[in-house]
Amino acid sequence: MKRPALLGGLAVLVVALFVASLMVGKAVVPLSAWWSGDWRWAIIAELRLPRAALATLLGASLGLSGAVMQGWLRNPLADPGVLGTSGAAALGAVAAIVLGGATQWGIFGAAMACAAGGLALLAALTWHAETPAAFVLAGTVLASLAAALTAFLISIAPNPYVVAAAIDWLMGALTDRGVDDLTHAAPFMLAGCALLLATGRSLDALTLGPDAARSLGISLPRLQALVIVGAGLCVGAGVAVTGVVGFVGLVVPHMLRPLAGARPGALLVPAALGGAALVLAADIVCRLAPGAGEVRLGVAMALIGAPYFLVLLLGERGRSWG
Amino acid sequence: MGLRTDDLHVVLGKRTVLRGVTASFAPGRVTAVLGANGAGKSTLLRACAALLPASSGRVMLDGRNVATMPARERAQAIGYLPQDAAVHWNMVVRDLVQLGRLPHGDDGGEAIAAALAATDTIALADRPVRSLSGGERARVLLARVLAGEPRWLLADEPLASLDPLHQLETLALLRAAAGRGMGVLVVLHDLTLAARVADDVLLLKDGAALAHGPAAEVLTGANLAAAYGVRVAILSQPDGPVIVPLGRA
Amino acid sequence: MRLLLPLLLLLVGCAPAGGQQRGGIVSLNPCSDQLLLALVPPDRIAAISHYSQQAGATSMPLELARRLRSTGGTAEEVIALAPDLVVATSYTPPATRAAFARAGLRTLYLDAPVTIAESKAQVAEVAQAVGAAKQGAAINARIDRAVAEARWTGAGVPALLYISGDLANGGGTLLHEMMQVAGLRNAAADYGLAMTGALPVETILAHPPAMILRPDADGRTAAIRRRLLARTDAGTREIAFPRSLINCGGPTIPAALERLAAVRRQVAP
Repeated sequence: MKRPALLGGLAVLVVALFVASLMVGKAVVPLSAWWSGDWRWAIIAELRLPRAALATLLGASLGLSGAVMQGWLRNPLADPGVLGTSGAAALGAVAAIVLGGATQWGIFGAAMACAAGGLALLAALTWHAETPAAFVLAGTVLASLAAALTAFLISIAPNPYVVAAAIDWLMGALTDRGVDDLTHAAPFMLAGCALLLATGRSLDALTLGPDAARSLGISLPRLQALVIVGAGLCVGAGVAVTGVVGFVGLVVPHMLRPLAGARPGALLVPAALGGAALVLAADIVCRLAPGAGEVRLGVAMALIGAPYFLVLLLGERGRSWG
Repeated sequence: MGLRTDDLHVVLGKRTVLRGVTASFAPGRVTAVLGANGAGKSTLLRACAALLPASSGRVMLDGRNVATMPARERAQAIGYLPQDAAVHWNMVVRDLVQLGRLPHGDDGGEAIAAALAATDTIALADRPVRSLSGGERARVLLARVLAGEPRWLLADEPLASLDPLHQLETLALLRAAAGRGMGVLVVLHDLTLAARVADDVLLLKDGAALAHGPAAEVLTGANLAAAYGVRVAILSQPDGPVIVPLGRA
Repeated sequence: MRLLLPLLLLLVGCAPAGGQQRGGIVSLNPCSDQLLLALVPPDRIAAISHYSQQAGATSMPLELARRLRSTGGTAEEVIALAPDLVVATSYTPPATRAAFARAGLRTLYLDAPVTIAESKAQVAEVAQAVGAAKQGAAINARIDRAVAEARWTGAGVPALLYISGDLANGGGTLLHEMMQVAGLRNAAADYGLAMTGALPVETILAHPPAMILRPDADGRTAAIRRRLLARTDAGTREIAFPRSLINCGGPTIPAALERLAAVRRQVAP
């Protein structure tokens, strides 16, 4: 597919879903109320608009992180979670919920602090690492440790309501995220995305292997730093504000690779747009579900991701059998 | 103006792989780097491309230390073709060859077209690389290096897994590149092909230079016995000598 | 190394100090703790749940709770006390239940009551089991009196009750029935929430309740909810509602009903 057509199509999709996201919700806001003094405009301006903006940023960050991670690890099934940063951020948030301080700022601050700590630990563990395997291992160590401590914190919760709040938060949601959440998270996500977008050429060169890439003048330590810090900022800020939303970084680049071409650098911007579209679409579906509450975004993502991979697996088996 | 190593020592882990290799290579000539397995041939090439640090001694390119050159200049001057024909993503051939232009930071349409023409891969330009045969892929990877228009081409066992026809074609490409003024260092295992293509031969044994000079002078029974531990028969043929191993020395 | 084995044996032999109490009633849940204290004198209670000794989870006066022995709910602790009766909830893990059964302990497992009638039946059941039927009847009589006093037959005042943070109380719960008795219409049930759950702010804004009852002033969405509710012309008020009245039924019901009625009288005297 030609690149301008792909980028244009994805951009149109994102804009359309953004507008649709503003029109969907549990309250009915007639068009006459838009941009008027009607108090219902506040629902759009203070609840749905920041929520849609956050969904777009979150999806773009996760899609881009996934594309970069897959390019860097040379593995089409890599996921930003492999760095362990999402686990670390979740640990921080659950600690805030369980130990007190479950306010907006409290949860965000604790989650970002833990994400930063996790990144530092990862950097320390992989200081002179040569191979992607070292990173995957270090990330697994971090993720396992974070998961264990999270479970421990939940087990010592003082009452069942705190447990419910922690588990609810872990499932990931964009519900009731307002302007404050957006302004907390946006700078980190935008910075992370900027760093990640700078990795395109280096990822292309890595196609030939690390030696050939270095012989082409690529600095692998610089690439490593861009990837870790960029993905860490994106994923850490995302989890800090919405909880754990998985699968986007894994599914979107995988889905778009046949359309964007196999060159890793060509996949970055499409993956960002595709991620934004996917999260916006899922968030709309979450609100359309009948009932008083909303479906958790993390749950919706898993319900999309698992069948996608089942289809992939069946296709793969068909190929190897046929 | 050439590539040379000054008393180059390279230690990997606990092993000293290269001991005090001093050699000078001239542009416009093909030098075959020969030696038994583990003699240090790949290591020498990687050190020349500054992919490995020298524990002592240095590699000089046109009077400048390659290790301290800015990465971009070094990448523009030296083209390195690694031994593993790794291509991790199923890119289109044209995009793959274009990767060779990264050190120059441009699209390099002419250079790419010239590289494709030289390797006879123009017909493959729009095909995904995994749909190519082994020989075609090898030619495409060589085109990638040529597209960078380097002054020096360091090729590590470029003939591995190629059939005889493609081996001869690749060697002809290296000869032609040298003919255009490029300096070529190529690691080979096949002694006959080395005798065919090389102007000079650097013979390594246990990390040290056993002999270095014009091919005809270095490729003697005595040198080869010392380097490989093997008795050889050298037969003259119209196209060049044929070197055949007979048994242990 | 040679010292290790004797050292280990020494540690194992150091059992926690404390009287070898036998008999009495062990309760493993704050609600049954509270019920038992209302039925029998404290010296018949061998141990209560450790939750009753924590401010955020207790349903009884803390000073009283701290004077009693407590357990963490494990079978080992309970069996060591050799009680006459163990009162626990139906959520007790199967492994613990099996341990009690093997030890031959007399047990009583209680469900969480969802109506006032169920709660009264539970009070009578527990009273019977501990031989305090008269006290049980007295508690139920107090409940009946409280219901009669709080009952309001006028139009229900829409109210939203938060039980903790952002968790709202929906339909089909004991609190729901108590709100109805006291003349408050459960807004969460109107929104379609069953049992407990979180409500998106938009849902609340679409049909704002007349009042919001909550135990804590802060939740994740409290600030934005307040700000946007202030923009509507519904005049929703926020009123504090003590957490200790939320958790249990039985003896807590009269106090909870009284508070709910008092809240309703603020709007509809």
